[in-house]
Amino acid sequence: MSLSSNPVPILSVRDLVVEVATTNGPVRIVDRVSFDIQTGEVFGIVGESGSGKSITMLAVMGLLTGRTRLAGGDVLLRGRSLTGMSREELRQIRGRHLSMIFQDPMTSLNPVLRVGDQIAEILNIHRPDMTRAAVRDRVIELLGLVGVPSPERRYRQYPHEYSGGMRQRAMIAMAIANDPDILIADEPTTALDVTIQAQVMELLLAVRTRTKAAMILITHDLGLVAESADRVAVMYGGRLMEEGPVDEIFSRPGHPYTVGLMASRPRLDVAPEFLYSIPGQPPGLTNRPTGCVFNPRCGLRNGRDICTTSVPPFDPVGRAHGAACHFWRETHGWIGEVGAVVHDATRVREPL
Amino acid sequence: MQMPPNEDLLRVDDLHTHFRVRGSGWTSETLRAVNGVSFSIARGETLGLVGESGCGKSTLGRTILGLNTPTQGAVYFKGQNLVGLGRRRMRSVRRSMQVVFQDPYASLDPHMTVGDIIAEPLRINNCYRPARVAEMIECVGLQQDVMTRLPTEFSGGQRQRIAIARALALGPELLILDEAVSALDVSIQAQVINLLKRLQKEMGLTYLFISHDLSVVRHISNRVAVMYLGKIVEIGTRELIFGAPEHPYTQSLLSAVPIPDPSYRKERHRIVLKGDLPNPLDPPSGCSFRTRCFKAQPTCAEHEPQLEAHAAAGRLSACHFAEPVVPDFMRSSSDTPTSAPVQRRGESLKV
Repeated sequence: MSLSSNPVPILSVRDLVVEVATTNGPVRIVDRVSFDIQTGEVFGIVGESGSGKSITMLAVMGLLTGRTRLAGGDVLLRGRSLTGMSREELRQIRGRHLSMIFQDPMTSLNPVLRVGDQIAEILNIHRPDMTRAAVRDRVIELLGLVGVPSPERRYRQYPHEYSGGMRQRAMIAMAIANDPDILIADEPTTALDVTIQAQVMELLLAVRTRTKAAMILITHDLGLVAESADRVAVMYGGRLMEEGPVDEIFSRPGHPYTVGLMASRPRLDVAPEFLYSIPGQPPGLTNRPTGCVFNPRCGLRNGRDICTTSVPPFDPVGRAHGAACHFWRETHGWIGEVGAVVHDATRVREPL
Repeated sequence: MQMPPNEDLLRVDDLHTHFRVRGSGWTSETLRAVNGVSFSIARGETLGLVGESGCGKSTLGRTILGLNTPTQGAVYFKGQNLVGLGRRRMRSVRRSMQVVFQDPYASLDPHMTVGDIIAEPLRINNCYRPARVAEMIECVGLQQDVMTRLPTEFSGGQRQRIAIARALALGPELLILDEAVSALDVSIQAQVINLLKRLQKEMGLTYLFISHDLSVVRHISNRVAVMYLGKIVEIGTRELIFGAPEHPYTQSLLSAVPIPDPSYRKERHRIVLKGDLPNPLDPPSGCSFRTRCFKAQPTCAEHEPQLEAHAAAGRLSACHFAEPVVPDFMRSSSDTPTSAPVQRRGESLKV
């Protein structure tokens, strides 16, 4: 179901299903996920490990390998379906219209090639008409753009001569080389220290403003999303739990999982004596709960049967804001009941 | 040795841990991982030790435990200097000083059952009792049936509980937690943080909590020390460090932490530091932070600032231009520390 009113999304993901083959048969690790990305927006996808957030984006890029496979749904880029494309067609799209920045720049860069040549490769593939000199100039321009000092010298260096923050800058240079429509950043700053994270996020948002690309920011850090995203989707156990504008999600979370996620993270501006914690463990591959995938850990369920028997529909709970919970109307009251700190009290807006 | 209460359980005095590393050609260079650190932890207190990767915080923890040999300085545990202590006497001291590491996948032997893992420190010290193992399993919130299972059957959060049970088996007084919750997912991290707080209350434990995560450190610590390139640049009560940091490095660290609240977006004033951590083999002259500091003056390159009190009691900082500034995220919050006067962002505090 589409929640946004904007008619032409640049990227549209429809009922995406990804399965992984296990000894007990296929297991759905992404289960009917749908969302739209509008031109120029920053869309955050939040979730813990195993929530399916990275696999969803790999499926969008057509990069599923090994035991995972696309088992249903569609991905539309400007209305063109990517799922039916041949490998060759997809290669023309990746790195040109869609590009991705991964968490660990050390493993995504080739250690035996010069950094400059690796960035040049992406230009050579998609812009065969460019001369060698033009490519070289463009790479140096890109390195300068992402804040790598003395780009001429850095062009000839190898990844091990770059620091972690510099490597991530080089990855960003590579990702924006062909002015893509969509930049997918998968935990781009997780491996970095907090002061370097601030530099890299600032750079990402700046290049995005410059190239007018939409950005999908995949992260486990609600803080990063609150700071940089326009809209956010919360994933858990392979399903979309909640989606909406950032202000809405943070001030009026509709799903108990979103509430739990916000309340269980210690934060700098409020210091509760007691930290709410979601009981239990996230589901493994083989023991997906029936009904709502969050039901065994949910504080709102109160033993109600519908949570184990039926998958909650994705209900509109606000303006362009949806949540997959049978009892989302009770969420706001429940926040007070458990004493969870979701928001600084002085900042909470009117209840739903 | 019996100690009167409220006295320091651990005192570190001008500790240096240097490593010889290969330089270019035949030369060798000295890496000053810990370079003159002094602090103390009172019984029952949690000292948070924060800093970015490579600042020496883990080496400091390992040196206190005796896993690295200090080049210079002293570590007093219950009044006894551990530096230069023989192996046998060090072993008996280690019973009261335990450690939990970051990665529970690497720190638990995959071939041993959970029961054996928790029993191992007891067996080594000839005080194995099955009841003690059962008690430990219960106090970290696991079921008794985990005893016969292997660590590979458990998730990260449960493994970390096992590592905590092992560390507590001998009834230690000091626990060094080296990034103990950093690898855990948010929902599991909260469970382990709450567990650590409960155990501290129940057993009167003292924690040295080493972490790069300022939000977690704020939640769990009574006092906080901030490290940069082998040195403590600021140390003080949690209220002062987070409510009115004095050192420019602490200020920029705090300003860089994302806060999960979109309404801060417009208000927040971020100090983005220039560049990367300098090469620790060749640290800058004078103040080691000056190359990235927004307050740096020529004098910073010539004179190294000492860790000293500048204004209020309860905090020391090493900066020639130390000046407490209330971070913007504290201004609208309800728990602004009473000890620090509230001021507008960017204004300096007149003391």
